[in-house]
Amino acid sequence: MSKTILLVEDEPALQKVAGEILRQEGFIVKSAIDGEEAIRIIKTDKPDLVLLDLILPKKDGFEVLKEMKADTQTKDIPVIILTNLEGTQDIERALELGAMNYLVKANYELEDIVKRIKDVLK
Amino acid sequence: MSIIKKITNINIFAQCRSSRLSLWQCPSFLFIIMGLVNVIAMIGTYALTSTKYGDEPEIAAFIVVLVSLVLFIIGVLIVENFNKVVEANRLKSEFVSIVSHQLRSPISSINWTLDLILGKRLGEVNDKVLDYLKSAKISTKRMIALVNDILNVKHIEEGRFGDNIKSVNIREVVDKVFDDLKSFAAANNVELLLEENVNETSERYNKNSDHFFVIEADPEEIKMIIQNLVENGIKYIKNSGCVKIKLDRIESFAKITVEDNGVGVPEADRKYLFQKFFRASNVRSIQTEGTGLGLFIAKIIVEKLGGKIGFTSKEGEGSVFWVTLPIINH
Repeated sequence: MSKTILLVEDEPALQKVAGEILRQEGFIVKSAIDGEEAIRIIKTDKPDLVLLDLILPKKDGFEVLKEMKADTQTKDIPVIILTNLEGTQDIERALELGAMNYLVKANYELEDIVKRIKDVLK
Repeated sequence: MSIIKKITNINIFAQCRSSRLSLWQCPSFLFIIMGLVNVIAMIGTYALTSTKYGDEPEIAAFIVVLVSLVLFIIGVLIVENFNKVVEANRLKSEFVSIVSHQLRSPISSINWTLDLILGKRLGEVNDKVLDYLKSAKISTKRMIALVNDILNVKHIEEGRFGDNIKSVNIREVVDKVFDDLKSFAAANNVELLLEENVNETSERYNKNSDHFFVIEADPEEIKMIIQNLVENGIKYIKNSGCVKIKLDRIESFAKITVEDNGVGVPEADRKYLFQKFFRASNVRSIQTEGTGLGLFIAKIIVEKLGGKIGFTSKEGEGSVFWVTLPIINH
């Protein structure tokens, strides 16, 4: 059965490109464009993996991470942070909150990201 | 001597001009005026009171009050203008940060879109179009590198960079850089070699001890310096060649040397090589990827850590870049 990935990203162009490659790789892709929508989808759909941006409208990525890790129903869903924030403090904070991986968008090729997602879902 | 030299090197007008401030807004100029007012007032008071007005202390007191008032006004002006300079610096920093972070999203989206097309994931593309898209990909990568470097420079200038100080074994960092760049070197027809030298002075130390190459620094910074030097060596070889990384210990310093047989640095460009955004004239045409910030960043970090950076070069034959860093517990 195909795995479901929730793509939390407020930039439409990035949503489109990342969504395309993930669908081509056989994943079911759900999208959220802000933190509140992300939490709603995580709670109702329980995706197999969340690709989470940190700078988001309404609720930021850290909040989303905190809320989903506090809920026993969703705390085991793996989260990969995909953002352009790259301060040491941001990285440490996200990993402490339970993110599995932290990728800086500008520094990764699309295929690398797909590879990392597949590794986590193996 | 050095104090005298420093004083003679002060050129207030040039300083104010380079900060784009008018003289009456420029703190260094105002300080000089304040000093001059003070000295003239003191001499004047002395001259007046020691001659004909010596019997009238109220005149001396009046002059003192007047001078104090003038000094106070200049003082207020200085503080006000200092604050303006500080505020302008803060705004510049914020501006750089916002621009760079905001730039990254659209650049990432262009970069990934090109990945999709070049990976033929959106269907076949004819060779001519593919060729142009590859150029676009190279430019995009360059833009990413530039934004990254600008952010690094900003962090370094703010002193925010390198706040993760710990013991770093340079030997491990060199090994890591060597492994990371092996395939990049091969792709550029460059042979990458690594050697560790134990010269006469270092034989006194136990080279296998854990402290032999250990320094106190931010590991990311050290990696960035070594990576910069090795990448430069690889990038600036024209067709094929060899880059040798050497690790030495000289007294209480670790010395990293990166030797290449690339294009070398033209003599006229040598003194500018560590300047922000400077790129040597002979590499701009063969290698479009550089940002001109790598060596500038490296120099700031090395000097902050109490080390030195330098190079020797012969145009057309190659260059040797070296860095020394002080070792702890030697």
